[in-house]
Amino acid sequence: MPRDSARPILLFALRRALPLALVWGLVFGAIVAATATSYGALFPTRFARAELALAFGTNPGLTLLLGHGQALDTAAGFTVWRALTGCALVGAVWAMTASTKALRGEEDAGRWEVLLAGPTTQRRATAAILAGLGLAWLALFAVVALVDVVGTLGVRADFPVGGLLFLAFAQSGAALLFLALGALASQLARSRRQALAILAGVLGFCYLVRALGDGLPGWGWLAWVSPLGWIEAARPLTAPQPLALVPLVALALVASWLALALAARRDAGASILAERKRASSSLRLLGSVPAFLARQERAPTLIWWGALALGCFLLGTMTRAVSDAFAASPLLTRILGAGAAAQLGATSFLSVIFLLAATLLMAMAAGQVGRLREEEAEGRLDNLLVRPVRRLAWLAGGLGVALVALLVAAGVACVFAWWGARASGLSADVAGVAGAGVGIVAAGVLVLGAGVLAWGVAPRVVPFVTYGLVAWSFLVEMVGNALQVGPSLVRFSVLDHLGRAPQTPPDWAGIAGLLGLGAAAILVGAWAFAKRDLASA
Amino acid sequence: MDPAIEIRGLSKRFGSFTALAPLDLDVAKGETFGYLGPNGAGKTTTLRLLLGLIRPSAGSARILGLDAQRDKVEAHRLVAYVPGDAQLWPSLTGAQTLRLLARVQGRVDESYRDELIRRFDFDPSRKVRAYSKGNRQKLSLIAALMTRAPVLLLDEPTSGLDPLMERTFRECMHEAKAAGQTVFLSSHILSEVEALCDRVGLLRAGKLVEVGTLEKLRKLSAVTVEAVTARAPRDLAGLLGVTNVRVQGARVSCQVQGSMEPLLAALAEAGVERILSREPSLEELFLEFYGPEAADASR
Repeated sequence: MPRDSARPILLFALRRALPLALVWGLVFGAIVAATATSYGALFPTRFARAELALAFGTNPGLTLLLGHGQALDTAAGFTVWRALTGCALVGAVWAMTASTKALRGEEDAGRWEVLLAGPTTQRRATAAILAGLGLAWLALFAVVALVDVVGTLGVRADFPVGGLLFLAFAQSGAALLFLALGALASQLARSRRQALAILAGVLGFCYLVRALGDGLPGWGWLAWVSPLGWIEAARPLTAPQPLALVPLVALALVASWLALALAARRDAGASILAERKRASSSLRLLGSVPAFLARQERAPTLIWWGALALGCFLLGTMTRAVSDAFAASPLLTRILGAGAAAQLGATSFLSVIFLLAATLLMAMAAGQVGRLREEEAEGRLDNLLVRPVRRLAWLAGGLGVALVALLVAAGVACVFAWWGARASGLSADVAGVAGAGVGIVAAGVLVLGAGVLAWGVAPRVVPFVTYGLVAWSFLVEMVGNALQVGPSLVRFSVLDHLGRAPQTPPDWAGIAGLLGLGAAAILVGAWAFAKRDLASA
Repeated sequence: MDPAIEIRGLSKRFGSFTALAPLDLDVAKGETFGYLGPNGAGKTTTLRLLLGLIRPSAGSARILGLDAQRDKVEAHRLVAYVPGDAQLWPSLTGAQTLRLLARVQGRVDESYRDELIRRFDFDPSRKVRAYSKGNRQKLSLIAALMTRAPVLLLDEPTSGLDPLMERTFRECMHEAKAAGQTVFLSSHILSEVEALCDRVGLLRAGKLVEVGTLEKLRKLSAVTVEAVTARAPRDLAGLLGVTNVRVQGARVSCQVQGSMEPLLAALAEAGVERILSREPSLEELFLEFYGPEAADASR
């Protein structure tokens, strides 16, 4: 292929991926800068820092959420602990979305064949897209590094420039890997939706394995199975281990090479995973619009329920270990007594499980409203609305199915977390667990409402609003008050309004507020949707 | 005329762009109406307005007496629509899609559906994802025709169909007409419109520039005359209504609008040996309305 034909394809991929890469680069850098510069004010004395290291460094719930904290009595250690896992997760989600959109998404839309009709081959076009995405990743890394370095000028002694560059690389490392894995999944899957499902499964597995490795005594080796564990083991700024990231880069290269090799072998539009051209002839759930919507949501919903059941059960089984760790803490035993310390350990750990479950339910709601919008964007909704179907009736059917799925998902999280704790030999308070379940439903309803509101008013920004809200809430929860962005902005985090059930009673006022806000947003969004023209992608 | 479709001052603007200028049009019950226009003329916009998928900037439309916006659900019980490029659910099979759309429509002639599947040589057991464009279009056509709705709104319905299937489609349209169904057919295939439509509307840049029977449109347009004369004729271009004169020795060709008398007199003077006249085809009418000259004239 003449070099000139690769360039427009590369620039096309770069142009589409660059805006969000720059936004996330700024956010990742801002997290480091805010945490580093506020550390001294938050923990001004050596005693406060030692207390922080003891309380946070030995808290299995936080270890599970954020990974092992190293040198938490230093600004550098605390910053790395707070910033790394969250940035890695958000970066991975950005990367899988961008990569599958540029590759399998173009094939789904039929535009890939138009591209291939030019003087190129599938392998070369894929390589050009990967190069464009690689440049977008470089921009992400450059912005993170720049903001990391500039934002920590006031505390330069603790944050050497070389260490910050390595931190920026670790922060954006998962994004690099998932760009390559996204390219590979785009070759394997028969649709973008399937590619994203595969990648979400891989990311969930990586997080779970890393969490179990960090959280279960004697199972530390498990963290080495996960790329998120490699990123944690890189230990930027505190005890840098550049070799820990070598497998990550190697895996990204292998995935890219495999993607290119598969692109060269397969037909355009085809996939490596076998495609069933003749499906089951079952006519179930095709008798009405709500039934059909339930049928459409069946597969993704079952995957979410399964992931929640497995994750909550596995994490629940760790409750006993956490409870024992609290009971063995001399400080906590002295203050609370052994029994109360053990109880505190169990409930605080369960509240962390429900925090993760709430994040998953929010992501589930974002996916639900995104798929409904996709029906309109792709023109499939026209087939129903040119028949005697009211827009609002269709929307109500879709939202009804989504709400039932969210309610069951919350129930699944409650039952399996409780069952996991019970399997570990602890009996969790049923009322407390149920209260936490109500809270996570409210978080899902709010995301659903935000999505419907955006859909009614500006349909093309739905994914930015919903996934942005999930990412923002998760990041705020991860870095907490260290963000120093002001309490009013932190209050925009959905998770901030749930309370810490079952460790503390549910924040019923906050939960009612989320439900009310979600319902109001749904009503306004639905009204706007009914009044406007249908809008394609 | 008892109208099946009544359009009054219907227009649509997207920002500063006028997709459809105020449109007034009636289509009678049982009529097959052809809606012609180049790409971007506003044909699909008209159909989407009739279906209530987009809201008009002004004006209104009624289908069988029902307001296309306010009573759209009731109107849709009486309407079947075929889009030019049907976007269907890729994970459903053809049979599942037909089942869903039939249940949503609430009315279907099952024996006619089976007959259509056979006549269009359609395999309903495959997934939509695996269908070619032509097969997706067949599915969309079967889904619309099986309802036997009183009004059919068709937007480029044969795009992607092979000639055999196009013939089957024309047969179905003749049957629809015989059954008293009203057809609003937007098409680029002029032979199709010529073969099927009672009247034709010509749309240009969002404006309806002409409506009438093909007969009427032809009368509005010039007749092509070709003749062989014994001697070179005198200056024909100066005659009333005569244009595009070409003379090559004894061979003459020109176009005449209005009375033929001055031309015939001039040709008789030159000793006419042979003469042939023909009315314009729809294609020539189309080119006359939309060709570069027409575009210049409209500027």
